[in-house]
Amino acid sequence: MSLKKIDPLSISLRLYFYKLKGYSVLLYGLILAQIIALLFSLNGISYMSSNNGELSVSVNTYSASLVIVFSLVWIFYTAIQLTTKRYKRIEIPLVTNNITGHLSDIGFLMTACFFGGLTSSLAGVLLRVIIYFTFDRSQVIVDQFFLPFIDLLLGAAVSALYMILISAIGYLIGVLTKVSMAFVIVIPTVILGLLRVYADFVQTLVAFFTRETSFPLFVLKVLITSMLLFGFSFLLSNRREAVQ
Amino acid sequence: MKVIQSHNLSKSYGKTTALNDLTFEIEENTITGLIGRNGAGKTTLLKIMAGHIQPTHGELRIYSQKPFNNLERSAGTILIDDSMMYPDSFRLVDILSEVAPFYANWNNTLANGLFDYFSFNPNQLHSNLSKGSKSTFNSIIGIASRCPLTLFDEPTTGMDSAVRKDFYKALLKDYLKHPRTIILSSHLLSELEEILEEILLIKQGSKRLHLPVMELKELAVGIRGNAQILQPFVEGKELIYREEFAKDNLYIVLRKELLQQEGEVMKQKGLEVFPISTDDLCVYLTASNKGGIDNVFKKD
Repeated sequence: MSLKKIDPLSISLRLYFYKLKGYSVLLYGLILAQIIALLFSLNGISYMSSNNGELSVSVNTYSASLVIVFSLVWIFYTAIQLTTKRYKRIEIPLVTNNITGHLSDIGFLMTACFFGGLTSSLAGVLLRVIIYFTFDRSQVIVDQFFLPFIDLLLGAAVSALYMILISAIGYLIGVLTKVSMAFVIVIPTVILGLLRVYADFVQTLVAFFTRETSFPLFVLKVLITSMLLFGFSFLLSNRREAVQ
Repeated sequence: MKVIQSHNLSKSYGKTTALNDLTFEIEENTITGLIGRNGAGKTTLLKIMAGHIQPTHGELRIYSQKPFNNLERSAGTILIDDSMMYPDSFRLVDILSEVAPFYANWNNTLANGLFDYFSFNPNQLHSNLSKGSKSTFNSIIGIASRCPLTLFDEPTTGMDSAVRKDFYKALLKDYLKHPRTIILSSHLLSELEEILEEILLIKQGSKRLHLPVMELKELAVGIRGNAQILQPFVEGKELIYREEFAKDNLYIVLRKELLQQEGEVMKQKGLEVFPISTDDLCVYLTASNKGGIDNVFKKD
C-alpha cells in the first residue's frame, strides 16, 4: 500500500499554524522585553546640559530605539531556541521532515519579526503619547515629535527587516551548535577576534546594512542575506538526525 | 506483503553498538512484539523505522522506501514513546485537535471517546501529567491516528494494570476494525502475548528469534529433577537454560524437538516435564550467560 503523494508545502503550512498557536508563549517574551525597554526609554536616552552663568540649558533626548534593540535581542534568542532539541522534539509527533520543519520555523520567525517590527514602531508612538501627557508641553521640541503615518510604516518595516536579519543569524548559530558543540566557543571567539583584528572589515559589514539610504535596496540586501543564511542552515542540518 | 524489510541493519553511537546486523521482514497488518532486555536496541530500531535516525550500516525499508527524512513515510508512520512533547500553550484538548489535521486517517470520535473514558481533564497541560497518564494520553494519539505503521515504544510505562488491560483491548478492537501494521516494544510479554501475532526477540542488537507467538509457546520444554537421572538424557544436546537450584537438583530448558519420544520415559523416571511460558523463555533466550543471577552468589 503506497500513500498518495504528500505535498511538502501544505505540510509546512500546517506545521506553521501549529507552531504559531503552540509557540505563542514566546511572544510574551517580546512584549515583556518591549515594556522593559520602554520603561528605560522614559528616562531619556541622552542628557545634555550647558551653563554660561546666566542661562542654563538642559536637553533630554527621548527615543524608542532601545525597544528595537531589545526586540533584536529577543528575536536572536528565539531563533536559537527554535533549533534546540526541546523545540525539535515538538515536531516529532507530527508529520514532518527536515525541510518542512525548517520552512515552518522560518515562517514562524518571519511572523514574529513582522509582529515585533510593528510593535516596536508603535512603542515609539506610545512613548510620544506618554511624554505628551506627562511633561510640560511647552518644553517639548516639536521637531520629529509628530510622526507621519508613512514614517511609522517605514519604521515598522525597517525594524522588521533588521529582526529578520538577526533571526537568520541566530538560526544559523543555533544550527551550527547542533552540528558541533565546539561552535559555542568558536563563534564568540571569532566575533571578538574579528572586532579586534579586522575592525574595519566589521565596520564595512555593519555599514553595508545600516548606512543604506535607499529603502528598496535595503530590503533586497536584507532578504538576500537572510535567504542565504537560512539556506546554509538548511544545508547543514539536512542529513542530520534532529533528535537522537 | 512485506511492510518492513531490514537488511544487515546496524547502528552505533560512537563506540557503542546499538544494533548489529539485523535482518528481518514484517508482514503488513500484523501486530508484532519487539521484545528484548533493557538496552537491547528496541528504541533504536523503532526510531530508525520512524525515520528519526538513520542506520550506520545496512538498510531498512518501509513500503520499499527509506524512512529517514522522508515526508511521505512520516505521514504514514507514528511513533509513540515517552519523549513526545507538545507546546506548553496547548491544553490536552488542544493537542488532540491540533495533531488531528496531520494524520489522514485520524478518528476524532475514537480519540474523544478514549479521552473521556480515561477521564482526562481537558484543560490540563501535557507536561503536568503523571507518568502513567502521559503514556495513556500518548497511546490515545497512537490509536486514533490510525497510521498504516503504528509504533509503540514501551507504551505501558507507568500505567496501572487496569489501564494497561484497557489499552490492550482498545488497541486490539481498533486493529480488528482497521487493520494496520503495529509494532509494540515491551518487556511485559506475559500481558502482551494475547494480542501479539509475531514476536521479534532481540538480544544486544542482534536478532535472536522471529516467530509467530503460537510457535514460540510450543518451542521449548522445561525439565526438573534429580541431576543424576536427568544428565544422561540431555548429554550433548543444546540447552537453552540450565540451573542447579539445589544440591543434585537440576532444571533445564531445551527445544521440544530435541526431546522427541524421551518425554514419557523421563516422566516415568520421576522427572518433571512442563511447558515454558513465553515470558520465561524470552528471559532465558536473552540471558547473557548461563546460570543466571545465582552464579553471582555462588562465588562467595
